[in-house]
Amino acid sequence: MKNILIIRFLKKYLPYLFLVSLSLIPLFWLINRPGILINGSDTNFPLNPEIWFTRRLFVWNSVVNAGMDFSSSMAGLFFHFLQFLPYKLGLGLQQVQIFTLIFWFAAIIFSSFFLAKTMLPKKRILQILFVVFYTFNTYIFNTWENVKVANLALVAAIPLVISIYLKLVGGKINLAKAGLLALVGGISLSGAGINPAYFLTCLFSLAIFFLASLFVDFSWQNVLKKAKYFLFVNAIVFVVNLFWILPTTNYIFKSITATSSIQSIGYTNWIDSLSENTSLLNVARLQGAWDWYAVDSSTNTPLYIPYAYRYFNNPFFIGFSLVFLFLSILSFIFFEKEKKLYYLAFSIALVLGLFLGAGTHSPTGVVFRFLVTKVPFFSLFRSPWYIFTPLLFLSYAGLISLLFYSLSEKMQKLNSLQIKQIKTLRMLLNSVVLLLILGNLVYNYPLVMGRIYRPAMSDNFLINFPTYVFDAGKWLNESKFETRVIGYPNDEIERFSWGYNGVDSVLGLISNQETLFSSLNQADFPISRVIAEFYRTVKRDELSSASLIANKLNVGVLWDKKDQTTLSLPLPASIADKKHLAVFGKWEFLDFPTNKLAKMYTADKIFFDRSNTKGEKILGLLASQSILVNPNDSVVGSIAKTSIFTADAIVAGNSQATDYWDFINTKSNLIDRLTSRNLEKVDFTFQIEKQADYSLHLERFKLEEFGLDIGSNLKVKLDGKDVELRVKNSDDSFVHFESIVLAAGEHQLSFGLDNKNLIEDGNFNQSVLTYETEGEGEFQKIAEGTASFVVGYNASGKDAFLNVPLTPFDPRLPYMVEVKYKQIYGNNAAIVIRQQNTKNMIKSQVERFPNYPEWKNFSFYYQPVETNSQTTISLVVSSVKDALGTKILYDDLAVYKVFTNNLVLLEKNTNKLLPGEVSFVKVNPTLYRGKVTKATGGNIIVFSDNYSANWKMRLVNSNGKKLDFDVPHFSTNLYANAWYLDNLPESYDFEIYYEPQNLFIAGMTISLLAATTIIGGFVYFRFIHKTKKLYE
Amino acid sequence: MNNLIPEQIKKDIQVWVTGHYFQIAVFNLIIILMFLLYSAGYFDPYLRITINIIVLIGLIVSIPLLNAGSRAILTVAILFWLFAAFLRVVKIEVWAERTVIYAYEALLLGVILLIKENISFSQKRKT
Repeated sequence: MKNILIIRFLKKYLPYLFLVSLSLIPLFWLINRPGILINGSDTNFPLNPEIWFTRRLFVWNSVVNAGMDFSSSMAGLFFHFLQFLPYKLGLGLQQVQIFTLIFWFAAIIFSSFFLAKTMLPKKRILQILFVVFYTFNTYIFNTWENVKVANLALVAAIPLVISIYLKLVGGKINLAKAGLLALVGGISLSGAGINPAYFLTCLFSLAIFFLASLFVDFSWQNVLKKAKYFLFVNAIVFVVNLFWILPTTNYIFKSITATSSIQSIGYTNWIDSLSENTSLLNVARLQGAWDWYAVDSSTNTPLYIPYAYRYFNNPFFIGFSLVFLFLSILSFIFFEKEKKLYYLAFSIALVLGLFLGAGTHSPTGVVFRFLVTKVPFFSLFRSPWYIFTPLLFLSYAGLISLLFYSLSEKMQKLNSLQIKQIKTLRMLLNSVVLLLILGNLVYNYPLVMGRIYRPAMSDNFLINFPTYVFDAGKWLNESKFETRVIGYPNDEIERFSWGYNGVDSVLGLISNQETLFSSLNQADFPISRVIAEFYRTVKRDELSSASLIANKLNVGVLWDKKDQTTLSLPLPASIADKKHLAVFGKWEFLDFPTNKLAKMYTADKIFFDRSNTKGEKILGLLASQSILVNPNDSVVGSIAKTSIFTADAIVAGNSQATDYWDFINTKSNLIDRLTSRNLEKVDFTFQIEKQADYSLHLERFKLEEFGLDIGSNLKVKLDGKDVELRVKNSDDSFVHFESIVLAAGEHQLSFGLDNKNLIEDGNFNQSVLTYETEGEGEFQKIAEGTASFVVGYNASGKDAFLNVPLTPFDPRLPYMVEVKYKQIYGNNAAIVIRQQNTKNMIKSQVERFPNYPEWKNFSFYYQPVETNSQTTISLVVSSVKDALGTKILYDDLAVYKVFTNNLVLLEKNTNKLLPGEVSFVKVNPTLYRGKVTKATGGNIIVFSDNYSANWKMRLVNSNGKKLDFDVPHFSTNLYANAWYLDNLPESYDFEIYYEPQNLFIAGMTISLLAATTIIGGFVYFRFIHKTKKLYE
Repeated sequence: MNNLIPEQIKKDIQVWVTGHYFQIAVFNLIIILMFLLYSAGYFDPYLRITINIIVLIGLIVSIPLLNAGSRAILTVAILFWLFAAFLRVVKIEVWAERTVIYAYEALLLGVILLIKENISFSQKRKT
């Protein structure tokens, strides 16, 4: 009797025990790794979960690069609440991470179990089969590897949401219970809103089941009933998520046009690159992720996914990857009518999952591309493989389970078999199912064993954060700087020697300190251009300019990361020696020399940016409270008084820089290499709008090396006529000349340069060849009359080089290389430029010359990597199969620095605005309250967060009452906000607020009200209504 | 070889063939014609007749001519998939990918037929 009870108990609860133990898998990923966190790359596990959670209560994130709209990130509120809660309860960071990982693992397992139970009631082993195939698959590796909020939410919510609908249609639950379950589904799905395409995919999968349910029993009465249930589930999921849907929709409609690509919101359109490996064969085997196929070209080993090699070559892994689709199609052959709704739904999901998951890969890619270009907002589905593949493994799990269900049912119906035979067959079938479950767990061993985090690789995701990271975070949070911190070195990906790497600053994980850094994702944003100019001036040791730009960026602290693995040049001594505010381990926080201009200030002078998209070059010259505005801005144009205070700022076009950048940005061709270049002269061209006095400012960097003596006046040609520019003064960034009168129209200012050839014996006139050779070829100096040249001969199997060192070499400058050559016979002439440091080759540029049997000039530019290094220029005599070998003549090798310095012209205008004094308080990232005093005449208030039309200014009187006043709003300093205020009292109060925050508040209110109503409804029907009925 | 096939199946095939003589002939003619056009490069460059198109047309015309149902078409999909699997195992990747396209086309057609065969319209009972 006792044994029977135990057996019954086990039979009932063993599957649950199994599922619970599967849910605990994340525990094993970290259990023997004290202090380790899964973090880095795309994984952003907060080192201070409280900060990350509260940040998601605001539609503007002011922490990153002068702020950004945060609408869709608010969808992560629940996800980060799950980190915030245990953190607040006192759990350590690793425990918090384990808790959240287990939560989401369990959510996926039990959500899929819920659907399996709905689909195959009382078939425990098949339910587990469904769960295992849904939860463990190769697609989901990437989801877990980066702990992707959107993917986890989507995968966890799909089965739950579908089950609710199916249970409603089947009459298994009432609306009150369905509402409560849909509320849970909606909350768990909320994280998918970080990328709204994921959210839509969940609703799309529900629509597939709705459609299938219509097919199996089509009548108008049924359509209405099912549509009602379908809309009911959708409506609850939708309303629960309104808190992010409202601001995100507002953002999408305002930022992206219906037909344009997502490039318009600053992201790189990467559909094609993501679809490179999504052939139908790979998608069907759930192996379409691009990173699986990235290999080291020299060793042919995987670059990112070490276990991919096994999946591509091991027979078991190849075989098992082919099983899913085979069994899925086979299930249709053993079609069981009783479950036709599921068959139809999964079949649609299968066909669509394969097609959509393949993205733009041929042959179906043509259709996908058509959808992207023609269907409004379809371009939001920019990662087709990642977004749509859940449909595919959902259908695999469903169809494979249905296959075994069908087989077992068919077995039962075989009249010719005896009960014993049926039992044996059933055992056999169950054994196959168990084998499949086990096989799938083995097949997905990287997920089960935590190998997805690549523990054996140097750049793995298992990070042990040094204590000084936490100390620095604490210090920053306590210091509450009113200025921003800018990081150095400026690599777009932060790679620390202790393993962490990320595209956003690591400070964001631990602190609310506003930070600036080189952004990989926002490279084209105006703020990124200003930041890049700041770094350029820092590296050129142009401290005065760097300080002025820092003012515009509201920078006060420079964060020197000495533990960052980088090629970048070290900080110049003039900056590195500045006052250290704090030092934490290898992190030094320096007091950056600026005026410490506040984030909000009043401008005293306005310059019109006439730079033709080079406005950032002007910022390093403008005094602190001078601002740069776009003259074509209609709002600026509408301000009548601007002409009194404005002056033009012009960046002249530099002929050498223009030729250089044209060369660099043009696809390699011969036309721009078979020309002669004269770098002994530079022409600056500029357009003057109106006749006036203009001061000239020439960038100071290495002027002496180009023979420009700034100790005396400079003789130049203006529009072909000789003029003398009188030096007024100079600093470390610019030489400032006395102003000159310029008439309206186009002008050219020409400077003669003493640009020396950096190759000492480039024309090989010395008696012996002084350069080293490499390889088995021969190089000889030949003299013919007064001319001499070098002859290279090579009949060996390897290339031969004549190595000419480039000294002095400054990686901050570009170079022009030219040489004369004559190919006598054999392989083509060539030059190799090799830039290397003491350890590694940094860059190698090969220029192969066209076949030419006469003397020919060949010239090209070299853009060095800005790192401490040496460079060698090698004349090459290439090997050739022909026994005669190769013979090349070279002469007149020359290397010149390219003069890329900027020339800026500023119109003289002595009229100044009389700036009032501004004081302000940051209430939260979306609301600032301030006061202007001593205002006289018109005032421009600058607010140094990224410009958005959603930033609004509201004027209030001393009682806090809104004043009805339309304040012109425009962008300034390329990225910031500015408002022009006129005809106002000497002092007034104002508020600057980010308008979409109201949408969040409205959405959150509706979401909370809906949740309360649903829970209230459930409680009423479950308890009160039932009790009443009992009494009746 | 003939003895390996069970009698009942042989009979069924005979009955089916007898009932579809004309359709089988037309089906074969279409396929032969397609191959002729393919080898002659007909319609090129406006419409290139490829093996893929021949497979697709073969699958489509088999539905009205040979009364192919979802089960038959999906069986073809399985065969193509198994062949693709074989090609992948022996690492002839290009052919494997090409064969998977045929498998997908057959799967798509099979699923459409499956839906068509299983759509049921409830009718109101006349009282």
